[in-house]
Amino acid sequence: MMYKREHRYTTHEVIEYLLLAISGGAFLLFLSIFKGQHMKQFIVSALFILYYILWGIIHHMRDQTLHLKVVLEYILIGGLALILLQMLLSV
Amino acid sequence: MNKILSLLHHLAVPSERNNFRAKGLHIDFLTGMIAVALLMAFFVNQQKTAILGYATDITIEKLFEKTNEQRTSKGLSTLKYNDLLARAAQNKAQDMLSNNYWAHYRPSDGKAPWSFITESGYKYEYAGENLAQGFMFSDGVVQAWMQSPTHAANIVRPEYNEVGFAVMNGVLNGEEITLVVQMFGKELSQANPIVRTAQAEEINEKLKPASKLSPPPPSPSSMQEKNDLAEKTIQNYYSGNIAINQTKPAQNVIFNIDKVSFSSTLVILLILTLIIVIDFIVARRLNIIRISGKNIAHFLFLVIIIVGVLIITKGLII
Repeated sequence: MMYKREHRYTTHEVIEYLLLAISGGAFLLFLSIFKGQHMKQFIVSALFILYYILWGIIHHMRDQTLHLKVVLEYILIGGLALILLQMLLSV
Repeated sequence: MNKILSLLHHLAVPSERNNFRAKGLHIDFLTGMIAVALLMAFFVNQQKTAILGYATDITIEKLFEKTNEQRTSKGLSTLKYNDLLARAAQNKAQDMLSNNYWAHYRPSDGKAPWSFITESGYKYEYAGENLAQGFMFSDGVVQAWMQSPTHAANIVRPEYNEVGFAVMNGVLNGEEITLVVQMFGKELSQANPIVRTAQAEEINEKLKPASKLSPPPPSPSSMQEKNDLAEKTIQNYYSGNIAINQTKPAQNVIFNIDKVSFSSTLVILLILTLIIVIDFIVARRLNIIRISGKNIAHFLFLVIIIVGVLIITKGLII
């Protein structure tokens, strides 16, 4: 299904994206703090990925566009990142 | 050729054919990517368990080459590889893993890096030590050392003319890691002062009389004693729980599992990011609104993960 509409970002959306970006910055900061400590880096990564999935669910809930397909999309992208990071960190 | 282009278009560009969402972002395609990533992770973990020696891309050959590159760029002479210094480095790495510490001096009794050097049979005039752990690539190790003024000072110190390395995998504080020990030295020629430098702790004990610290002059008996010590060290090494070590520069690693996993991770993440960008641009241009995840959020997330991947290749130095 497809329809056309002008999309404008609401203040809520901007704040939510900003929140995601700030959380991402914090995640990268923790990765740097735990340099060389792979288990801690993996835990931080897992927490950030979990946050990203929850962020997606809450964002779409507020946006009234929450759908199983959308939740799965966030889970799959997050899961893919988690598997790849696990492989690199060898934990 | 047309078929390939059509496939790429289907994968990345939203159109009627893929229900106005890039196929690369469909649930079935993402599930397929997860399956591929799982297979890759399984293969990589199997390889790492089977050949612990190549758990990272850190090789003595590369470390030696990069260290000398730094020296030549500063107009200094290159360092020669010394087996005794390499043995000292190996013993130091093993000692840190056996006694579970990460420092220039052994915390229990304050054993200094120089003790490992003299125990190996190397009679030094100048000596220094750099340590690193948790790195994935040799370049990263030398780069991190060069970014630290104290470590860089060791690498480009004109007094040194020899170096030895050890790269050792083991468990430190309950975590599997790769340790790198770099020992510098200049052999004692005459009754010169002894200078030792362990970086980061900023130790530079200068001008101590050689008579107090240098080993006795070489004689047939002391040479024999030295060889015995070396033999014991090797025996202890093999009876320990250390999985691998490298002390020789002539490592020919053709297939490196970490390099492969790092590259493939980056490729997968970059392809997915590219698909998201193309899908976003085309969807915006055509004003397509779909029931799907937010491309901006996915893009932001993937960029953060890519930066994270680059960070985790770095380790610690002291």
